[in-house]
Amino acid sequence: MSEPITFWYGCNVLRHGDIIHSCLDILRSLGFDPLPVGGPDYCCGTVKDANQTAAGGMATRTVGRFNALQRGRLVAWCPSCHTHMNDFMARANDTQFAMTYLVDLIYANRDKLAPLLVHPIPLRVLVHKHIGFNDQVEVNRIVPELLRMIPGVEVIEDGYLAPGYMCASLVAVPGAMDDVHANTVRAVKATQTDAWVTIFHQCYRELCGLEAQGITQVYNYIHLIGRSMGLAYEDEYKAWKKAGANAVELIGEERIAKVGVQFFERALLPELRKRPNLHDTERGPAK
Amino acid sequence: MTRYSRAPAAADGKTVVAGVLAVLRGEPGSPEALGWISVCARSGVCVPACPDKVDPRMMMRLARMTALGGRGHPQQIEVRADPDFFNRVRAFAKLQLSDAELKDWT
Repeated sequence: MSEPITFWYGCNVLRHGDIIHSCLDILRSLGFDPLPVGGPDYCCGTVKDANQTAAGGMATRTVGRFNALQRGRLVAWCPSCHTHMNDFMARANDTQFAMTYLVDLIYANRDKLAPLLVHPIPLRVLVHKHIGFNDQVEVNRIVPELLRMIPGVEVIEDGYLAPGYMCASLVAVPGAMDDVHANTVRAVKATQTDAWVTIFHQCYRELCGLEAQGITQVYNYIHLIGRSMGLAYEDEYKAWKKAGANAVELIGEERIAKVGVQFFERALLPELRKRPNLHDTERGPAK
Repeated sequence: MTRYSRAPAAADGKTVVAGVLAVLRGEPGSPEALGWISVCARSGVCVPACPDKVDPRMMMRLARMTALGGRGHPQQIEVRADPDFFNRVRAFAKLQLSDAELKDWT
């Protein structure tokens, strides 16, 4: 019998429907019954640092919703949500569930995962690692171990650790994300690896522009696990990112009409067109 | 991350921390302290390094909330507001999830 869990995917990973769908299939394959919840109505409140009244209200609302689901285990995808629950939400509200981080759950069930990884993926990869978050969940150790379970995947160790705990928080600091991009390009060219693999979706969305620029392939670790399992969800965000301005044609008028043409052009298209700010010496394919 | 701060470089870490503590008390912070608060990205290297076991990462997190005006004190650092944040998330969801998934998952 499958263990019912709440899969709290967070907010920004809604850019990557394929990752959410793959996570759900992986969880079901490992014997869990995941109820996926996320988006603004389940926001942890971490983006409201400048308004603690709002942040506190969001925390109480979201914890209340989790309690009402009556599932004893909450599995978090997002490191920001996981941290905010531990640091603030669970301290200020009565939680009727225990929280696990997805990477820990997959790793604890790696014996069940191994026989499902049937499709070889012949790739030499580097894993994008940050300094932070590892004292809470040892993602920098565990994710490479999970990737090494995939037939054909060779994980190369470079030793580069990006500052912070994920890339989105570096974007607001002038120069910081440029340095991450430059160090990523340096590492890929030095090791002649095929792909850069991120742990978090926040890093994936900031770094997949490197693939759009033809530097290196970029994946999230869930993409590779899913592909080896035979899951066939299309990475539309990457396709739109690589298409840039032409993403309009890929997405199509009908879908754009759902979000509104003006809002799409103002708030989504610039993100899809954005590219890493690389020096001339950093451009060009790594291999 | 301090190398990315626009604040003047501080010669003494203890002096900077004193400025952070001032912010937490609702007082004006020094330029060096506000600079550090502005760029802290939660690497957490400070946590095992702190000789007083204070959890500086949490200290900085609370200081940031305070300096942004989030706890009711005067705002001291720039608020990088993104008024489209939640609507952008909802928009990406509409582009990729089915109507049933939108209803049940979000």
